[in-house]
Amino acid sequence: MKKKSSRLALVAGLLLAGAHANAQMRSVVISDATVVTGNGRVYSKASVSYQGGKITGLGPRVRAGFLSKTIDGAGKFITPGLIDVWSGMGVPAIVSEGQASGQAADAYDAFDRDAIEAALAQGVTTVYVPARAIEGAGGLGAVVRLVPTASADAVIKDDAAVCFSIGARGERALGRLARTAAFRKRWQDAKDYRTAREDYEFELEEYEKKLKERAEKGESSSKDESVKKKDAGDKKKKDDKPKNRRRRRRRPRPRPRPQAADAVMIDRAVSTMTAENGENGERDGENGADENGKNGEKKSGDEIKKPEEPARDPEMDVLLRALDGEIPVRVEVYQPADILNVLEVGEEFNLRLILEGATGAHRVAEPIAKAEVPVILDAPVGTMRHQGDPRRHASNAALQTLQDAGVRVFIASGPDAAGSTAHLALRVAAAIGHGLAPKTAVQRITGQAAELLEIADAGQLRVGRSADFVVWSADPLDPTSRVESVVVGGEEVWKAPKQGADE
Amino acid sequence: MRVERILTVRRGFGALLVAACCSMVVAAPPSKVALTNVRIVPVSGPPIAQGTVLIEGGKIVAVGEDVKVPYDAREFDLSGKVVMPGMVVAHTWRGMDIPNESRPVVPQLDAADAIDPSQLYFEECLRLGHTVVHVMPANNTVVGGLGQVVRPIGLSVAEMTIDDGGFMKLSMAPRRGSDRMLQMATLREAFAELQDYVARLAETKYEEKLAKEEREIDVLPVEARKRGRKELKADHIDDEHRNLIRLKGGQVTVEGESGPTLFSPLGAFVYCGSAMDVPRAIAFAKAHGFFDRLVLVLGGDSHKAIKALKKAARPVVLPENLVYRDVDPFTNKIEETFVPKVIADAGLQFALLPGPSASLPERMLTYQAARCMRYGISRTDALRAITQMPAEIIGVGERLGSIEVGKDAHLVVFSGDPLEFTSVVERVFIDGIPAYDRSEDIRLKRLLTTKSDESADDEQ
Amino acid sequence: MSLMHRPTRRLGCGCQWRSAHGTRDVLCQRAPRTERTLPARERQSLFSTPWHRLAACAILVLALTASSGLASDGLLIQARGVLMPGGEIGEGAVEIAAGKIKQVSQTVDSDAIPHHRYETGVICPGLIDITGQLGADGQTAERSAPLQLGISTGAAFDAYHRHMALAMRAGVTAFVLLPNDNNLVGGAGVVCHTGSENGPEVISTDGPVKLSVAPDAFRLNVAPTSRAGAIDMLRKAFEKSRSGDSNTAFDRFVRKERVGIIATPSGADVLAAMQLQRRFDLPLILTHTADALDVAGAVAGARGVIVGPLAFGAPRRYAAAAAQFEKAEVPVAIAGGLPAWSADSLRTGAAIAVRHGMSAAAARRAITEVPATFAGHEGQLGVIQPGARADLVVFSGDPLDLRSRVLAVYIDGRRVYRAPTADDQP
Repeated sequence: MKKKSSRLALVAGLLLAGAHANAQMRSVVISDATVVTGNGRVYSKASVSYQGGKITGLGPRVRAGFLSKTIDGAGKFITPGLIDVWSGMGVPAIVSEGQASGQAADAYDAFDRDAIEAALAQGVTTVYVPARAIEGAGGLGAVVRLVPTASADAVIKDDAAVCFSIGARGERALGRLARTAAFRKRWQDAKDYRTAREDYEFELEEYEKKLKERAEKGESSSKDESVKKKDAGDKKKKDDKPKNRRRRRRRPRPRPRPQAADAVMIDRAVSTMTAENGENGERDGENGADENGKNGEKKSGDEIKKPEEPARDPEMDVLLRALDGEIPVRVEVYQPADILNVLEVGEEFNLRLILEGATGAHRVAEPIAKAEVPVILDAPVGTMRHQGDPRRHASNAALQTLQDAGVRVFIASGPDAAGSTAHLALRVAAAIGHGLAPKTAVQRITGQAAELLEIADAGQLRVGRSADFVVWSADPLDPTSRVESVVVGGEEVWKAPKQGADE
Repeated sequence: MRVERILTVRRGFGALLVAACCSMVVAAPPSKVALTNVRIVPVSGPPIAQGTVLIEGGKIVAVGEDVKVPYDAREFDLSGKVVMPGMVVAHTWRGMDIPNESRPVVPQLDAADAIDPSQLYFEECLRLGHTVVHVMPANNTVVGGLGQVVRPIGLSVAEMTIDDGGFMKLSMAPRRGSDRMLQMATLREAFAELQDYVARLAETKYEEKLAKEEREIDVLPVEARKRGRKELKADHIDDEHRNLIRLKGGQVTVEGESGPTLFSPLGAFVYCGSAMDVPRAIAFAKAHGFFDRLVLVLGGDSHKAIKALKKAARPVVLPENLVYRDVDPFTNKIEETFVPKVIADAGLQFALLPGPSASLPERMLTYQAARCMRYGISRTDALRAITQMPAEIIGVGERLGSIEVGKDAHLVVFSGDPLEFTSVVERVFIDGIPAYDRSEDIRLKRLLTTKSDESADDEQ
Repeated sequence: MSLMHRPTRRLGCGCQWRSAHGTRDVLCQRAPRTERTLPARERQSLFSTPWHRLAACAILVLALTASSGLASDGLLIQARGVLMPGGEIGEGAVEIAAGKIKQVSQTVDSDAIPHHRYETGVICPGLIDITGQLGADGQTAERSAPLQLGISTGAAFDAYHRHMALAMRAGVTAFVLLPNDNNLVGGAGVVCHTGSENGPEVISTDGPVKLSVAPDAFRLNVAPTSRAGAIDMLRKAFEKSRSGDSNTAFDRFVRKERVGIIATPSGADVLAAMQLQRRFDLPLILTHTADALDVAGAVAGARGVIVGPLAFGAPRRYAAAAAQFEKAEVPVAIAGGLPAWSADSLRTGAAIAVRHGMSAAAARRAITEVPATFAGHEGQLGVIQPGARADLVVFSGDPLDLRSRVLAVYIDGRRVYRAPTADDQP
């Protein structure tokens, strides 16, 4: 056994030395290996060639170019770097109060070398780290590439998803309901925020129109101003119609009043100034609302009401992006009833949901499948004892049930135990033992995981893509398999330490 | 004896000590002072074995072996002693009542408002030879406020002030009860809010202008904001936002009752609690235009980001604890890193800080420098790290940090080699003022007097 | 061991349904022999949703336990592979007679006796959890005195606990019900089956004696309060045992008639235990050792080491411990820690240990043969060889490979569980 392993290490060493020295110039061919592309294809006895950081050839017939270096990969497996779609690596534990504008990327510790190397040593190269909070939105989750030398480009994506959690701390039913209600209210607030913005734009147009009318009446104003007006008028024409169609009437609703809250903070003189201004604006607003549309013809001296701009809210700006479908919404939720509630809110606001944890998901598999919401299943319960919330419904049969219902189930390490990211491949093996379809299992932590995270250049081996892959001594799901080398961009970022070197 | 420094006496030291404190007085600078027959460690150049430092009007006017002492100079014969420049504490909250305001974003605060000249801390500074102190809000903040550079003598802050601080305190590491996500979100929002503020203010100013001219609003807010920019004067902007504008590189002149005041761009002392904060601090400084005036205050394992630090090549203030201990999670082996060595090897400009107040020897900058020497940093660099380099970092390098002609006369007289642990500070001159004399340090004397000595005195 | 000769206690239908909305697990304790069930195909179609499938599986179990009375008369189990005593997987078939393994043969005369055939399976000895608390969770800590010389956990054994069947279905056929770390001497453990024709039972009362110098064993104001105090008390207890003529489990351990398992969380604990071992020449096995990396060299004198339990979140330091001990040539068992840990934890732990450098053969032995030896059943349990008890698990592949599922479980030659998906031909 020892001899064998040292020979493996030797091969790995050679492989790596080659890869390193010639990352950019010479073409490298690893031949005779089993190549798992990550998108469902498995080539046995195939080769991978790469040059200049890109994969140049893949499949059973890859020609070794002139001067290329060939490495015998007999018995080895080549896979894309594994992707952990829900990890606890390098991020703090759940925080009490969240902020949608917070970013998990800020909390990720790229200098946690030990954790990063432990994960690389098990073939995991990319992780999604959540922004968890008990209350409200946790913030934006991030996708991070694991590199042993801390670098700024470790963060691939700092806005991978908006994170929420409901019942992750085992709250009682009423508490969870309150959270769900708060969850819904968030989106309603975001919608109102958007409406307020749209209203403002519309009012701005009306305002502009009136300004123009007044200016036309009294031609005495200076030239350059009329030019400006003309410009503005042109702009107005263009988008006048659709906006009018969209919103004609003004809905009464509470508006955030921005200046007042800050008044304490700022210098007295300025604060008085702004306060006065705000009051004027309000008074005008009331007049304006009454007179809106009536006073087409205005006498000079009549005030034209300046619409009040809604206050900018950084949290809402983030939620709007999710509301527009730009980024997915991840909800860490466990109980079946909560899942149904979340699905309902998701449908109401047309959110792109991803469920995390979801140990009760199999109880409501049908609605989840119908909503086409992917599920990232929590790690299997680590004890036989009775589990209270949130894992009350956890079952080994969950995977099978969800799969049969047609739910896209993903396997991830889960954020509670940072160390388990490293054992992602074994986790997937165990999931297969519990019913995950072996055919798609590896895709769920490579190609499909990359799709879920919406990261283009990862999870798949394909000609022309960046040469990112892992060389394994055997099938990655087999416990005896060892990672021999991790190559990113044609350069080896991790290699197996030489075994038996000390003997 | 024109100016007396009255110190607050704490915990029943009694009338005796009040008298003692009064004896540590700050006299008006004698017009000429000469330190003769003394070994001079100028830091900026090679030591002079025996020479004279001549001070006139608080400035050093001559340094060398053959300096003629004018007849009217007050002469201190310091044969056998060593004189070095006054040491510079680059970053401390001490001297204020509490380290931080409890609100997270307070750019309008100024340490100058909180410095308490009567604090014993300043007396301790004199005793240790620290003559320049950059008092700054501490690390438990997001945007903490401005610092102030003071000397440890004077009855009022104005009298103590050497330089109005040119630095804003920021922190990348989460403040208590916060986490990094919230910290960064708060920081970003502070700067985003600044833009809103200026825009709205400009709009208001434009409208005011129109009102004054009895004209009506004629353009949309977007245009009004652009036009209003021209109307915007520095004194329209409140302190909070003015300081952020200065931090972003703005130069602001404010017309006051006593004429215009120029507020120059601010630098930033950015606290990094761990290595992961360092790249973020650098990126943030670049994004907001203060990278050229950035000083990184390192804490925890920040030295692990040495690559980023080296690339940025910005000055750093080192952690109080010079040795960083790391436990390898795999082998459980303790790995110790002597942080200054890592920083010095990277060729960075760095300042040492006095250690935690709980540790008696580490409170001395000379002890910190001596440890640097022990761990392989050259004597010159070790000395520079407590004088010249911190002076340059806090922006008073032209005036302080070395014994050179033309510089302010901040001098510390040691009984022997300053980096020798047995050496003590015998005298301190600040701007030529003999500010401290160990032989008259009653509080120290009392500390060093044993019971038996006292009874012996009584008998006499 | 034949069913015919064994007096069985009948407790009605042993099939319990927990009809709570949550886990609708089926718990089969024992089966009335008279019950007959529908043919398999019909059952499958009846139960198409997953929990119905579970139910189907339960009924299958009932049916099979009922029908496998044959086993005692001789049975041949055929599969793709057999886990051999060295820990490697070889070829062959296992022939069982009277609850024992009769022979492991290459050639199969399939007509001679009834046989079970698993086309893709690997026959493995039943897994053994050396640190189990099944059925007595929390009941193994007597806090009245630090030295529990004569106590035995047998009294705490609860044959009706639902965890038994769960563990059995995960392939765990036996465990040592061991006192926990809360006493210097916790008493004697007993060796138990997770199932049999009569349900879970104690198969041997002379299990290992449990000792502990873990901080858990220290009291606030009663001795021992420190490691020094603990070692001193233990030393005196050994000396007293040597000079006296009592015959408690502890005394038999001191006389080397049975092994002792000692909890030694830190490296210093290990060194202290090894010092005791040298001085009194004790058969000691170390457990709960967190600082394995530092002391792997020092434990050479021990009978063995118990590593784990290891879950997916195991830090590298713990995960690599098994490989370190293997390198130091100390026998290693991997603990399952049931029921505090999951039913799969033995295999998960073994797989993780392999990922961190342990050899596959050693890892397979670490959850079968080695714990059997530690429990005092060398050659009887945890190994497939003629004469050993026929506690067998048929996995769908290598037991280390977490993709493998349990196809069937045999205890004392009787098939006590058969997975609904098992593709055997009876």
